[in-house]
Amino acid sequence: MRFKQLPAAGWTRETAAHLLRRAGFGGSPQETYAFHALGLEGAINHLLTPPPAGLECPVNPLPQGHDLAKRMAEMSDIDQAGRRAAMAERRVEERKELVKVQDWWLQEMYRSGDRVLEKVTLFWHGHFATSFQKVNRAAFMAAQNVTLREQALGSFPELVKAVSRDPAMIIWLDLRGSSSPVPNENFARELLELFTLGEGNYKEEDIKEIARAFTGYRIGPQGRFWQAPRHTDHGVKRVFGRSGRLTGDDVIDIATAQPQCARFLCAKIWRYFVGNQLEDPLLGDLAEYWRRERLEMRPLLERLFSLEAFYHPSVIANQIKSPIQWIVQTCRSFELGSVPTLPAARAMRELGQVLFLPPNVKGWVGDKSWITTATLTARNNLVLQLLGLEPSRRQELAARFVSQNGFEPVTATLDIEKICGRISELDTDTELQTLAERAFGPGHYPHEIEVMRREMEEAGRSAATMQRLVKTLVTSPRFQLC
Amino acid sequence: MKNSLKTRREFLRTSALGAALAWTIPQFLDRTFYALHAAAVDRLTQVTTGKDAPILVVLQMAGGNDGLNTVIPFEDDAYYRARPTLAIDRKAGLKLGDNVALAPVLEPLERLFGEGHLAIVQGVGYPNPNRSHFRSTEIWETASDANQTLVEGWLGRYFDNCCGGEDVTVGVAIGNGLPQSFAAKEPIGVAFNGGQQGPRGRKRLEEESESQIAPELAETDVTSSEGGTISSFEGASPEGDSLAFIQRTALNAAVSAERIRAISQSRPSGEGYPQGRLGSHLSLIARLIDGGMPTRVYYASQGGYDTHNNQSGTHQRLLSEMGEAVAAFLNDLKLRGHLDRVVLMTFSEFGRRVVENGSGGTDHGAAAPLFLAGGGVQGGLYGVSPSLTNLDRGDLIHGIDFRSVYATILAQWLRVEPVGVLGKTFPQLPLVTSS
Repeated sequence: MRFKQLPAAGWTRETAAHLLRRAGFGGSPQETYAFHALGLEGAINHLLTPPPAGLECPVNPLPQGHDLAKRMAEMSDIDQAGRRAAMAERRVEERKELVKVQDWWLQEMYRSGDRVLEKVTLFWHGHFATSFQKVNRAAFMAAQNVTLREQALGSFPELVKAVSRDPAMIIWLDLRGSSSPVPNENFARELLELFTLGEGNYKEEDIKEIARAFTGYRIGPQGRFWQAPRHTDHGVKRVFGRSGRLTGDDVIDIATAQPQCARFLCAKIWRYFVGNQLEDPLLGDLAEYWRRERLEMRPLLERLFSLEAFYHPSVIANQIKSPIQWIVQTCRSFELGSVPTLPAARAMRELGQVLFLPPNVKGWVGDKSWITTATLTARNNLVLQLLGLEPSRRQELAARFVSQNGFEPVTATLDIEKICGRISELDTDTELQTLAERAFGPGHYPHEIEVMRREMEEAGRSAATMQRLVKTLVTSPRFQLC
Repeated sequence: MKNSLKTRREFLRTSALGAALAWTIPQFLDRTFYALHAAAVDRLTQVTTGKDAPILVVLQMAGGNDGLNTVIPFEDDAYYRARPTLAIDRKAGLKLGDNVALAPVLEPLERLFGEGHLAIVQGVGYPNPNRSHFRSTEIWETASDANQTLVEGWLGRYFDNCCGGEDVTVGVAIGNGLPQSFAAKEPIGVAFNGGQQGPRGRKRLEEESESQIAPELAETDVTSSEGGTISSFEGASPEGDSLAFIQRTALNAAVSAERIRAISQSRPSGEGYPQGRLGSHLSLIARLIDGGMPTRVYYASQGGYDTHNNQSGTHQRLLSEMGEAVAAFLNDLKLRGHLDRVVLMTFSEFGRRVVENGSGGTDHGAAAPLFLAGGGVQGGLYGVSPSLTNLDRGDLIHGIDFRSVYATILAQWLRVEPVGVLGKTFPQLPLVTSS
């Protein structure tokens, strides 16, 4: 099996910046420059090295002394209306906790945006898409996030097994109620259709049998997994031609060993990082390579990021930034220092990708579906707030945020002098080119530069003009691309 | 306030741009504008202004609505045997004659039925039913056969073939995304998420609670959130040049945003809508219709029907919200004088299995009923309640292909030739009043 590697001459500032944007969350011009200096192999190595110890999750993923059973017992004494009120209050508390977890993850994406770990974790979050909407426990969403991150670059079958025992997933796909002799099929179906094989690559009979293997999966009040032997189907099941007293783990081993699994995942991972549809023969080759690597993520990513096809001109700057990419990359490109909590929260909602709240179990469709008249307008309206260029009632809103959510929102403002440099000292074209490259990456942007030149001539050189130039760049169609 | 129809050409000519989008226009003006101009001249631009034209409102019930507990075969013993805990009490259903009853929470719909404004089409599905949410939704949205994969939506093909192509607001989806039903050769249709567009929209936003991280999180009534795995679906993502796609969407947004925002803010909201997203979305649609939008098709969605577990509370809540919202919508239209111009059609990607599962819920099924409501509807029961004993692997067998319903709406309501949109001929039903 031969793969076409990127030749040495292919590693340029442009291709290096492309890798940093796709594998991570982009960076400032200096970061991009340093990344390029590492060389292709060094850069890939850097991406795959875990970042130094991360920020601590603000919510204890598996809280101790949090006795749900006791609370439920207390609640059985009060009437229905009282119970509903208590649950509504509980939900408000959980929501506040979720806001903390969302913010924490965004900050982590910023902080380690020059590594691949968070980008891959985000991929798994969309792949095993689980929503707080139904789970209702911020701690469980945080626990799932931790599990995904721990296994993100490791063995895929082991990741699926860990997810099958994850408290949020067990609630999400109704495993906790699933019992022999009449299991429910929700998890079994999505395991095959969405997590491992893709639609049409199994029979309805397989789903029924697999549902039997996942009976008895339960979680305790603190979210710890256990198996209820009384509700577990211990009988013989037949799945993809294999018979036996199969457990859930057995089924996952069988399903992931199907050749179709490697194909399905490779195509999806390719689409996430490259942005188009991977076809044979490369799809087949990559899938076979991954099977030989026992479905470990690290070697797959190493291979992916060294392929010439990854750096093809039709790939570079042709993927629409997901809302999360848009938020984090904007902050990193303009060196804000962190992700400002309030504009980011609003952006997630209005651009259509809220962490821990995927629209359905398939995750986010992505690509062009990110852009509609509504979301494009939202991007252009919100980017200035994200950069702190429209402070307006920031303090008042921040105060309200604190009282409603119980923590201080992170704030940040664009340092226009740092970004645009010493305005008086540089020649116009160079500074316009530098500014455009900060927004779009290395390349040629005659149209945008022409527009900016006209604005400079009209309005002269001042901080206000510089802001206007930034605004022009970040509201242009090209800025939506990565 | 000017009510003139703004085409893309007119918009670019007048170029009174106040939005942040103004910055994007000069950059692609030379490429896109002239291309658009040429294309528009080539095409027919016979777009009715929509003020008097018939309107279709599509309401998606996302997740797979349990049809058996919606339109109940209350006389059939097999129903009670199959659903020892989930069956609706024999006496509780709202009898419609013909051995079927509506779920008790659908009282508002029962009233509409009595007034002749509600048609219930039973046993709707398609051959070789698919039980995947995503694949089955795709089949309904693209009107394909079960073994065919089409990218363009049935409404997108309707827009392409029959609506001239100049008016980007010919289809309006309430929410952030465009449904796959709207997917067409060129991006068409506007997604409006309810009051947050345009430059002034920004200020209003700041006045709202900043901690509203997501609308779903603001809902505190969680009597049950089972079924919530499917909140909504997103549209398809066609291949092709991304930059051109964005430029085109930017232009569409600039053309439509101001107009939609102005209308939605200028008209008072109707009354009687239930709290929550569905009510506010249908209320918004009523206002847009009243405001003279040239839109032919509106699209709204209600999620949460995927009730695998502990179905009863959730399903009742969703149906209740749907019934109340639809009835309030029709009443609102009637008061504003538009009832006769509007037909609302519900659809769900599949029904649910006959036998309940061990978790007090039901799994994915096949055939199910759908509703049509409006002044243009010939009320009554259509089709037959599917047999509960002659099943396809535990699921109800359909008697009516959903494309028959589409064909009926295309031919008799929107008054276009259905074959051009659906690719084949399907028998129609007398669902539309002849007036």
